[in-house]
This record gives sequence, structure tokens and C-alpha cells, in this order.
Amino acid sequence: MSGPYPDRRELLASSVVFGASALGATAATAQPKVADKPRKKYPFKKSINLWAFPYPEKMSLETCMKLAKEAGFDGIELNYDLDSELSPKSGPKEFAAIRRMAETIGINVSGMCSFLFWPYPLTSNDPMKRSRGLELAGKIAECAAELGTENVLVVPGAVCIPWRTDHEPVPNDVCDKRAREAIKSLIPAAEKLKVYLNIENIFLKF
Amino acid sequence: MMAGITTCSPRFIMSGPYCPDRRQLFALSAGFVGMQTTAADQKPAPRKRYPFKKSINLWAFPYPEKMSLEACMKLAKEAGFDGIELNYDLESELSPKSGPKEFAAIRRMAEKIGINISGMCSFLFWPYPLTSNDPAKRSRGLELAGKIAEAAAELGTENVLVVPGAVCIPWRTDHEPVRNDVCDKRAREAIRSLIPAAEKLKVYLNMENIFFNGYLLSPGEMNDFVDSFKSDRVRVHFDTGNIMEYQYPEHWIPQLGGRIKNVHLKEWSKKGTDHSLESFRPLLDGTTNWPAVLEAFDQTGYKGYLTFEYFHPYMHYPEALVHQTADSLDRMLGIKG
Repeated sequence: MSGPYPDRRELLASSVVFGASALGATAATAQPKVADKPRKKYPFKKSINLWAFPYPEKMSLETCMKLAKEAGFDGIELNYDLDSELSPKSGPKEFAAIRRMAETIGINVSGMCSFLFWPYPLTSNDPMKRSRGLELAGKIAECAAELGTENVLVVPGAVCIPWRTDHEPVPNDVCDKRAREAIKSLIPAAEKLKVYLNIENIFLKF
Repeated sequence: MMAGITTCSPRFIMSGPYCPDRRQLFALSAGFVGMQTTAADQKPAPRKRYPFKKSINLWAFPYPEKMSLEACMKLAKEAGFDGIELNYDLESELSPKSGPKEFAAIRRMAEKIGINISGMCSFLFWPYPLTSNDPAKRSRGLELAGKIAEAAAELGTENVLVVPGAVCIPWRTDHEPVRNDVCDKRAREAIRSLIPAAEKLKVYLNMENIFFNGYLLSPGEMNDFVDSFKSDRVRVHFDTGNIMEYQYPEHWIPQLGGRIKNVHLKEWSKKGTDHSLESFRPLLDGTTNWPAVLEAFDQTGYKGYLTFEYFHPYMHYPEALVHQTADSLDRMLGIKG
């Protein structure tokens, strides 16, 4: 019900459809006038992250959502920070209002992202930053649930953060151990809130 | 973790870079404590003396264009190196063009000059990757790896550097990317098939951490790979510079521990923006935390070669790079200064 993968019957049905259209395409190319092959139709939903908009400087959240909807997007991904209306400054009431706004506009909130995993890495050598990171990850998960999305992006850890000068490198094995502990401790809340902790591949470098 | 690698099993005493005897280790660490007390007396602390052997790779010399192999060996010896690392290719006297007789002559030349051959390297793992999608390249790679191992044995070194595979090779246009899981499977098969020859020749297959090949990107992955063979013949050739873009050699070394059989010192600067072979620098001209790196090697009990690897012999006064490097190593190892 909840995952991005369909059940088996749906999969079979779509492959039958694809098979038929692929055969049709072969027949079409045999004609002297080369018609464009009909492109395969993929089932993915279209979404765009809020960082692609001049938010909040030049556009309000409502304007961004309306623009995304108007351009044909199925969803919009929102970002949690410390200052905007998507931050600890908002509570269940404010998030419920944002959710209703999206519903009125007719766009889904496809997930919650955040840059806060960089100043507060879950694997920092500083226990204060680690616990702040965990606290914020919990808040992001709550916010996601209140906004009606089940997707919470999580950066599980960082050996190095090349673009920050205040990050002390963390040995790979220590990073791994802390990341596992941190994610494990977030699972009960995720279960309760019915959200998914989606671990992002960052490369730089974990 | 293989039993017997970090501990002093008799089998490694003769051949490995590990297993200083316990008394030596204690003496060293006692000396270190002593120095710290001296530092408290405001006198400049004498540098810790490390037991590593100094070596330099032949790529740092203008060979074969401007210097013969003999001249390179003599220069390395004159500069104070204990060893020189040689490179196998398809053209030079270190190639399939040479046989046991020629390699024996090179070995005698090195012995006469008084320099050890610290290991065999090769760029041939790039045109003929052990994990290529092209079966002909894979089998040519395996064949060449076997030849390199034979050359190593005939030259009197037990160290064979091996690049186990490549998901990507950024500097080659003819390499088709290989899926990570396929690369891993092929690499394991290839290394496994090389072990019997390595046992017979009494050489070690030392896996190099490359990073730019998109494979074995963390110390944990390297350890899993090496340990999977359950063979003493499969070890690590640790390169300090390759992982410097996003990681730190002083983090890797304690995790690799006794698996390290040979070492490249490559200097890298995190301040640079260029990511090519040009990013590597002369020793000490970068951001590597060398005191931490040397201490980390020492903590593992390593006693083998530290080989400086560099890809541009100086266009003018090429001997300067060799002497500068020897001087840097002498300071790093506490021989000078």
C-alpha cells in the first residue's frame, strides 16, 4: 500500500503493455517514412524540490506550490531548516495548515529534506551536535507526518564535509558505528509516525 | 580479520614488514615517553625514530628517456634510499620482452649497487582491468598479473601490487563502466585464481586502494575483500594519497592494520581544485597529516617500505626530486633533524 513499488500483477500487466507497444514500434520503423518510436511510458511521479525556487526571498510557499502544480508536477519536496515556516518555529497547527494548502492547490508533498544534517551530523565528534542532530531528525519526521508525507531523507553520517570548515573528520569505523546507533534510535519514532527514514547516498564520503 | 596477521606468527617473521620483536616495540615506545619528558624541559624534542625503510618508485625518474635503469638505481642508492620500486609495462626491459635471464641480470645489478627492489607496480591494470566487460581484456589482465608476479619473484621482491578491479577509469575513454556488484564478483574470481601462483612464487598480492576506480572505497570494504580469500598471500598495498580527496590515511591505517604489506606515500593537497594525476605533489607539499600517518603505521607494527610515488620526473635536474624526497623521508623518519 505504501511503497513506491507496485504488486506483481500490476508489474505483469505493464510489461504486457510495453511488449505490445515495442512490437508496434518495430512495425512502424519498417515503414519507409520513419516514424518516431513511441517512447516507453514510465510510471514515475514528477516532483521538484523547493530549493529550485527563490523561496522564501522572492516567492511564498503557496506561490511555489501553485507554480509547481501549474507546471504539471505531481509533488513538491520541502526542506526543513531553523528559520522558515518549515522549522521548529512551526507546530502541528502550522503544519496542518500547510498540508491543507497543498491539498487545496492539488499538489502532494513528496518528502522532507534538510541541510541540517551538515551543521549537526549524526556522527559528529561533538556529542552536543550529535544529540542536536538526532533531535532535529525527530522533528523532521514529525513534520513529515503532519504534512502528510511518509518520506524523510536522512544523511546517516559524514567522515568529512568538504564544504564546512567546522567539521572535524571522523574515522570511517567510528562514523559507521555512530550512524548505525543514530538510525537505530530513530526507528521507534518512525514506526509510530508511519514515516520512512530514507538514507541518502552522498559519496562525500561515507 | 585473519588470525596471525596482526600477531607475530612465525610465518611472517622472515618475509613480512611486520613483527618487530616485542622488545624492540617496547624500547621504541619507552623512548617516546622519555622524549615527552624532555619536551617538558623546554628542549626541542628529538624526533621519534621510525623503523620504516625508504623507497622510491621508478616513475619519479626520467626512465627510460633520459636515464637507464642502472643510473636510476645508482641515483636512488646515492640519495640514501633502501629500495626502489619498479614498474612492469609492455615495452621496457621490465616487460614480457624479458625472461628469467634478463630479470636475474637486473637483480644482480641491484645487488651490486646495493639497493633492494621493494616491489613491482604496473599501469597495465588500466588497459587490461581484471574486471573488464571484455573477456579478452580480463584474461589478458590475468595473464599479465601472472607475469608481473613471476618478474617480482625473479627480481627478488615478494611485493606485487594489484588493482583488483574498476567500476570506472576516469582517465580512459575506452573503459566501459562496470556495475559495482559485477565488478566485485569478477575481482574476487580474478584474485582467487591468482593465489596458487602467488603461493608457488612466494609473493604477496597486495591490493591497492585507488578510490578513482569507484571500487573498495572504504577501509571496511577493503578489509572484507582481502579477508574473503582466507589467504596470507592476499594483502593490502596502502596508498596514502589516493583517498585524500574525501578521506584520511590516518583513519584507514589502524583499520587495515596488519593487512598492510606495502605502502605508497603520495602527497595530496586538499586545497587544490584539480582532480587528476597532477593533483599529487612532492612529499610534504600538501595537506597530509604526516606525523599522524607515520604514527599510525608504527602503531600497527609496520616495518616495511614507504615508497614515494610520483608521476612527473622533473623536466630539469631530475635528480633534485630524488634527493629532496630522501631528505624529506629522513626528517619524517627521525633520521635527520
